[in-house]
Amino acid sequence: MPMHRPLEPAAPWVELVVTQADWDAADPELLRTMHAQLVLIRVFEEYVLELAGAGLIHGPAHSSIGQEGGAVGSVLALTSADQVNGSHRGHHQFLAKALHHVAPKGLDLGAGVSEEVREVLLRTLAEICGLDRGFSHGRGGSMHLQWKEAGAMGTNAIVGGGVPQAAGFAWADRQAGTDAVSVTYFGDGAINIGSTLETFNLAAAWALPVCFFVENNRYAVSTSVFEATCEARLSGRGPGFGMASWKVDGMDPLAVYLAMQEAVAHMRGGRGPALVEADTYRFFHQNGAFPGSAFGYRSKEEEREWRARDPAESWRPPTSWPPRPRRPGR
Amino acid sequence: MAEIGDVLLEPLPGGKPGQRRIREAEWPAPSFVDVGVRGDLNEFDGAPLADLDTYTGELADQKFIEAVAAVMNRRMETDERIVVMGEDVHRLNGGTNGATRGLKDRFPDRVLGTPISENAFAGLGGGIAIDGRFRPVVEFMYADFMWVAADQLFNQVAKARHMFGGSDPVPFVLRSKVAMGTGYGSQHSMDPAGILTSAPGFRVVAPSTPFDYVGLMNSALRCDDPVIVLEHVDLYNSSGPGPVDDLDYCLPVGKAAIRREGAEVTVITYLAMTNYVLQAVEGLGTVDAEVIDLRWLDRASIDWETIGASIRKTNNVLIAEQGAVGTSYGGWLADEIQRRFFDWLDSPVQRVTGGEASPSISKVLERAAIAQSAEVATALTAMTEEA
Repeated sequence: MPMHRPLEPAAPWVELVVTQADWDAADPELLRTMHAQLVLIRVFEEYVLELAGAGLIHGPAHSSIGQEGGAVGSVLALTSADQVNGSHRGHHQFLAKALHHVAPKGLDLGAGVSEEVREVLLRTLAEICGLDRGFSHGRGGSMHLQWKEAGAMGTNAIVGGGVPQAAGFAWADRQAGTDAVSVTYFGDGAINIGSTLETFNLAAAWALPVCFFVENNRYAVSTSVFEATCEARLSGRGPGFGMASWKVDGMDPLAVYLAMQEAVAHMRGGRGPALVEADTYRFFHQNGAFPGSAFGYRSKEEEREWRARDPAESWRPPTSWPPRPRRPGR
Repeated sequence: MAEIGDVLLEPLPGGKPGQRRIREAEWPAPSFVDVGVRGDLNEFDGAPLADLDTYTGELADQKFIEAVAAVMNRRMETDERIVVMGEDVHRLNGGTNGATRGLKDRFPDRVLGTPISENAFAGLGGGIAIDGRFRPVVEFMYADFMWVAADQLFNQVAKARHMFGGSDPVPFVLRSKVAMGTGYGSQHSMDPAGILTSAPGFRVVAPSTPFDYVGLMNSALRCDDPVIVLEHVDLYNSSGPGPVDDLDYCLPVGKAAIRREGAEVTVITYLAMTNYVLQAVEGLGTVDAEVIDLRWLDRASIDWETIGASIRKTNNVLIAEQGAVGTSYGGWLADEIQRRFFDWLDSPVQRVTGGEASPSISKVLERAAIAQSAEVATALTAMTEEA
């Protein structure tokens, strides 16, 4: 009889879980900034949906509503020197990076909206509307948001299309002798495409400081992640490539922040790429202002459960400012 | 947010309450549509330009492949931004053909042997180019692999500059080998020129001599646009005039070379077909053909001045290339020539291409699938007999 020796992947794969104690211990300034970003992006996205509904946006406006926690939590663990790129659903990724760039010391909505923040929101909105005032003179629109000065290197309309480029940014950072890292945001739909998987391998082989941040929102348009793959814990891809991997609750911006801090330390320490999977949920359909349940591929009940954990909503301070450190939706 | 939105929006005149429209002044001008597909080439201000007739250094007969390795050695020595990547470029004494000979020993951290992942490493190179601090030189071992990396080449690298506003450089160089005639068969033998030049954003160069290779590679490495350098494996072991010690000159962007002057018919060609055309003309001895080696193939860089002057003289055009007809290069050029020079043409633009199928492994079938001297001679004879 042959024997079986259990084998273990060489790279670690962990789920980072936070408790109320972590929230209590978190820096109030950090939480204030997180909250301010969440609210700004949410209000922005609601306005985009309003304009889309009024026919004022040409083409799709893929709403990030519901997914802001992952982008905000992860970007706040970065600096302006770190570069990110993103996906077709990238308003929140772009805004988080741009806002962090113009307000590196943090944001406080209680102090009003600064001119720089206003300018970011205006130019982003103009780009999404296809207008000259936008970052790319309106050529890029909703799916091609780029502001290099902020380290926002471009969102991308090809699923997985931006992933290899982020490895290039990381190579350039390392070759230039900096400790900057790059982060590429993509969804569960992009985890099975060749450019993503090829880049996992290349980045790990060359120990590049790039983070693959997968927003697992469970649906590629209407196809569920459980139909699309056998291992729906998408961070499980990492160990097969020798890549340290984290799974984290994407509805909890502090949890994402802490996971990202670990991933960033790993990358800045020269230990190669990182894979971070944030479990999240888009509240609406692929694009437009209807929920996914209106198209029959998921239930209203499922949507209610996820909405109950919405950090932007459940964390809105009812009466006082600053918000009390409280985990959203638990 | 509504207050920010009001910068861009105004009430719809005559509309219902709450109806809005985009303020007219916020739209980009329609004339902006093609601005910045490629750069304005100001990076060539002050560049050391030279062509065969103006080059002041010493020339000697040289093996093509040695010029390939020599110019990259020289550029990497003077420009620390250059990084070379591709399959086996770091081993085998200069990759599978010797094109990167000597680079790994001298520049170990800038010569990167990649896994077999064309889409990933082409895209990684694209990221380096978009980042802008370094200048990637990506090698595809065979041109057909562009299909494997099609998303990164065509959707990402080629479109990046224009799509993001038209002002940021994408200094990406792709060295793409053309291997027809080597027996590698249907999936390794294409001429990619026709496809590559269909993508706005790229510049495409096709050197046919060691001297041109050095100058065109220098221009490609200086250029702020993505440039594809076609390298025909047939040429690697050929010899021709090449620079002995000055490896720093650039060939001017958009300048073709007249390889043979003639009055009867203009033959427009490029890459390895250039030599086959010259052989055909010499072999016939009866046709006074003017042979133009394009060198720059893309729509923005093609040398209309040289082509036009020749057509006004000969009033007849043959476009000659080796590859399959479906992906061939000359179709758009014939179309463009007929609308630009209709009054100067005595006959429709003629073309020589390979057959419909991809070249097969079998030696006779491969030869039958691609065009060489014999096909050019047949076409020239037919054209001059008709006249």
